[in-house]
Amino acid sequence: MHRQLHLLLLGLSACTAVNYAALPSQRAQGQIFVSAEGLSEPYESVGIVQVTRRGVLLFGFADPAGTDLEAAVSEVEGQIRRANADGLINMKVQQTNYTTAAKIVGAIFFFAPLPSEVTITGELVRVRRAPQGVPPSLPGAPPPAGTTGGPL
Amino acid sequence: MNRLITILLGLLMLPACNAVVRGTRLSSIPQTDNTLFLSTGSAPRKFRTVGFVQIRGYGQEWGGYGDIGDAQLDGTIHNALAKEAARMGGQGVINIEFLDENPSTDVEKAQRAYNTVTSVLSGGARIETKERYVTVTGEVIVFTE
Repeated sequence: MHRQLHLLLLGLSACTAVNYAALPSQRAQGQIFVSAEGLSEPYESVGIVQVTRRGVLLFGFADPAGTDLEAAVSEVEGQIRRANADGLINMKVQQTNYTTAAKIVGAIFFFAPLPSEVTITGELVRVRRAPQGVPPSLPGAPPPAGTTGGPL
Repeated sequence: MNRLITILLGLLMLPACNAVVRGTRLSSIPQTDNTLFLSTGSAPRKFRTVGFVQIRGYGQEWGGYGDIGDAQLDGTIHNALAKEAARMGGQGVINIEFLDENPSTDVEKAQRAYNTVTSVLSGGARIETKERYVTVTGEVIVFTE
């Protein structure tokens, strides 16, 4: 009975796909930020941007083209710097996610790689700094102890 | 077997297929002009929601670089979406979400341009095209103060 329960739990655990990337939302002077929410302080819109990375998963797990969140966020960082912006707000993410079971099937049928794609959209902004040159803080930002994320 | 290994190695050496689409600026906060307020976020002051709009722009990419139709972020947001919001009597569109459904990577664009040029030079006059779609949604609002 216990063995069957364990097998069932093992099977269920294979139905969850997890993907993560450090998305820094804290900011100090001269550093750029990425946030899934907006800014409540004055800002100048620089433009909108969409970054899409497309590729295949080889053997179900290998991702040579870098279609994960981490790679997409790195590309977003480049776009922020190129646009001479301070950060990206209202970020939305769309990503292909395969369960572990699907990846195993992909590994078995390795001759048919799994298509994979990640897309990030958002608005590039430049914060209107206070006259004293002191940058206002990002609303909802975590305490500056550096416990989550970090500057890009 | 050798062929299979060659194919797999080729796939491994695929360059990162990266497509970046940019659009011009939306409204800044505080707004400095009297145009329609456009934002991916919320409104800077109190508002009333008039309705919601979704626009799906369709267009074609010709020869890798020429765009025909409304499948560009700028055209869909600043023209189609703005016109529809104005028709609804709105003063702004907030929480704008956009998605270029099938953007081309630089490699794909170059390949299509190359194929078109070689086709034209060889007398075939076959221009490679690709259907393009852009979807934009937003909340149309009227400011109450």
